[in-house]
Amino acid sequence: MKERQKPKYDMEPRYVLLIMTMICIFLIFFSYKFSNIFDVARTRMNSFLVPLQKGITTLGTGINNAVDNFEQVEALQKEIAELKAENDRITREKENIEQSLYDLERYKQLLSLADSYKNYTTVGANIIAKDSSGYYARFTLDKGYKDGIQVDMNVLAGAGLVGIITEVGPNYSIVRSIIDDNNYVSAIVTKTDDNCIVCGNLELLSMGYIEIRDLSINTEVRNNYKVYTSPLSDKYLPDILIGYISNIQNENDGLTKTGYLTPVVDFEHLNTVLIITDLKKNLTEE
Amino acid sequence: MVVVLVYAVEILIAVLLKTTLFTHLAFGYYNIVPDLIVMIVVAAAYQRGKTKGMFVGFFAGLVLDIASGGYLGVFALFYMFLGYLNGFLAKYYVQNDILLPLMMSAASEFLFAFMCYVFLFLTHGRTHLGAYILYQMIPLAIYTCIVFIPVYRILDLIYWKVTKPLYTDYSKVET
Repeated sequence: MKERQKPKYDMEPRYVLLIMTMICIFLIFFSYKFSNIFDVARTRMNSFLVPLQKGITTLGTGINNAVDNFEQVEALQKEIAELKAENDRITREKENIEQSLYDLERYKQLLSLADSYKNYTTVGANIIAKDSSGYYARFTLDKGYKDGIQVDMNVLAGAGLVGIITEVGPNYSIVRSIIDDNNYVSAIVTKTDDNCIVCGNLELLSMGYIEIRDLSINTEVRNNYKVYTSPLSDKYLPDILIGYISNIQNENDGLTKTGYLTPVVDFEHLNTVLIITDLKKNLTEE
Repeated sequence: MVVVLVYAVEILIAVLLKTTLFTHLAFGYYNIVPDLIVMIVVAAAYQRGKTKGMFVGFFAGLVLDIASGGYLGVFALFYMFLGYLNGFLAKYYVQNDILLPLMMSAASEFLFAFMCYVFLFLTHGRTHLGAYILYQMIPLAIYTCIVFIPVYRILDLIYWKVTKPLYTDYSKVET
């Protein structure tokens, strides 16, 4: 019987564990305190991973779409019928709204109000990887600083807010979404103009909600009111729809109300997003 | 050298699959996906002992940290501890045994989720452990278990065929 080969170095595993733990703690400390020093290594590694992730995601989405197409024919036919009915209704509504817009325009001219609505410039991007561990709700996009993306740019999908860019490499960027447990957005409620904080909450996520807190106790907010990003925020651009309120209740401290918020964005089936290339800090400087 | 290369490729494939293809397999809003990295760490520690399990865990966690954009070293620390703890059971290694590694992977996943809860959620005031166990830890452990069975077969095959063990008497494994 062959003798077992001796390891080149002989060290008690528990000492190795101790040393490695210390290395880890140093790494955590340094990446927390000086987040820049690992940027080179991170960018290198991610530049290597991103093309591979892109390839696999394209393949996966392709297969997924093929299966979905097959399944969805019937559902789509039903949906088309529904949408046609919806379309008729909307057409009628649109005529009404056009009429009111005309009125509004007239009133505005009378009051000579400046048009405060801003048109943001956006650029589209594909999601190529998700941190699916469930502990973070972050994902990787296929656009980086070569495409003019910068940290703190807002990310939308459809009409709603998705998140904010936290890390940018040459050909990728990482988005922290509003459903991330660590994410806080300062927001404002329509009709009542109450300020509040929207934050991700892993517990509520299974029911499709995120959390809304710090509403004033005197607020008259009802369910289904819309929540927008607040002009107070220093990173999020104002007037972006986040979602709809539900289940408002008083907090135990008797000073604030909290509630749930249904995001307008369907985070489960997110493939493409829009990045707003205007930064909040540039807009406020102007 | 071959061993290092094989583990590097395994880790790379695990991280890539976990962040891309497996997101299509996720169910629920929680993104419960089977954790390939835990499987690799469990298999490595079970087959090769504490030290090697620890190193595999460390590097796998580090790659995941880089790819997910969090603090560097958090997942590395967690997976390293899993590698160390699972290494204690290396002396019971028997070829083709699936029951013990299966239980190890379930326990590891549970422990990993618990560490994540303590260090990533409790630190900013999420105290509802019950909900977390019910919606995150248990589904995660079960899903990982189911996927572990075929994956472990492949990993064990790699261990025996590709990286030929350094010892012939497999009842005596480095501890």
